[in-house]
Parts: sequence; structure tokens; C-alpha cells
Amino acid sequence: MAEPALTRIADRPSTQLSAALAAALVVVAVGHQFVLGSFLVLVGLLAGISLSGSV
Amino acid sequence: MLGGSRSGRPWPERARLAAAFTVGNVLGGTVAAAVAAVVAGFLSPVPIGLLLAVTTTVLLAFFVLDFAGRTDLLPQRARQIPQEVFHHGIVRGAFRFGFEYGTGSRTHITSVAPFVPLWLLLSLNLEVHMALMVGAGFGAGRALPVIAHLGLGSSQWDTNTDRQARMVAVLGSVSSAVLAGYVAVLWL
Repeated sequence: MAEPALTRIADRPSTQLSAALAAALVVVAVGHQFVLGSFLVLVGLLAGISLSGSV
Repeated sequence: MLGGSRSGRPWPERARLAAAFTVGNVLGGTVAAAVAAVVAGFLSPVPIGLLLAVTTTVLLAFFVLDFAGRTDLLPQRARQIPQEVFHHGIVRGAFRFGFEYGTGSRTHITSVAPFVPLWLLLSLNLEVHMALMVGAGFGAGRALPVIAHLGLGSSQWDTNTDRQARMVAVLGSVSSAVLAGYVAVLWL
């Protein structure tokens, strides 16, 4: 009877809260990487465009 | 350079040139960033405070040279990329020209701008994929004005460039430096 046991655990508010917190952490971590990555590309992009006078 | 006036070359050829040039630039920027990342690795035993102090002082000195109109004193290879790169066909030439142009170290440097991403790479010892992102962005930024040149036609481009090149160089290098500083704060 593993399935009802798992269902009971999944139905607990503490389990759902933990899952929500873990998901939020993943979103923040990915978002941080995404923001940092975007900034890194933008630093290079702006620097590259600044050299347009040397075309 | 790529000879692209609006009426000079048919659209498909200009598109091929633009694509080859862009890919070359992005690749060139990425390779240059990879080299900088390797150098940064060798610098990693240096305490971060000392490294930041030295590289930031050098960058600020380069900014002073730029604002004083002495970009000729910036470290650079002060000659043009040879036209021989086009000897093996115009599209292949555009790729090779783009690659050398995208490294940012193969021809004249008219602004302090390329030293900003270099400062970022050497100071922070970023992870390799992050360094490559900076390089790819730099290459794409290098290609963008030339792509606009191909799209707009040379006469309109030259008029716009003469009027705005200095403003673009100053705004671009300052905003790039501010953003790089913010990235450093996020990273450290």
C-alpha cells in the first residue's frame, strides 16, 4: 500500500510548502544565472557597438 | 569594407555576407574571451583585492586617455586587417575578416570599450561559459554596425557614423563599464 502512503505525504501542507520553497529556490537560482548571463552578454555587446567608429 | 551599398550587391549575397561576417565576429570574440579566461586562470593566485585594484587603475587610465582624445596611446595593433583575407572569395573573406575583427585585437582601437570586457574577464576569473558569453556578445556588438551598414547602404551609414560615432563610443563604453561594475558586485 505504498501509493496511499505517498498520497498522504503529498497531501500534507508541510510537504507542499517544502515543494513550493524548493521550486522558488530553483526559479531564483535559474533567474540569477539568467540575469547574470544577460548582463555579461550586454557588457560585451555594448563594448562591441562602441567600436563602430573603427568600421 | 564589405562593399555593401544598397544597390551594389543583390540582397541574397548581402545576406550571405552578413551571416558569414556575423558568425566570424561571434567566433572571434569567443576565441578572444577564451584566451582571456585562460590568462585569468593564471592570475587566480593573485589576491582578488590586489587584482581588482591594479586592473581598475589601468582601466581608469585608459578611460582618461580616451576622453583626452588619445586613443592612439591605447594598446592596439595600429594597422588595418589586410585585404588579402578576401582572396579566397568574398563570403569566406567576410568570415575571416569578421573573425579577426571580432577578436578586437587585430586592428585599430578607437575607444576604451574593448578593455571593459577584458577588465571583467581578467579581474573576476569568471567560469568559462560566462567568459564565452561576454566574448560572443562582444563579437555580435562588433558585427552589428557593419550589418546595419550593409542594410542601410554606405552613404546613409557614413553620414550617420560621422555624426554619431563619438557619442556611441562614449555612451557605449561608459554604460558597458557601469554594467560590468554591477556584474562584479553581483559576482563577488
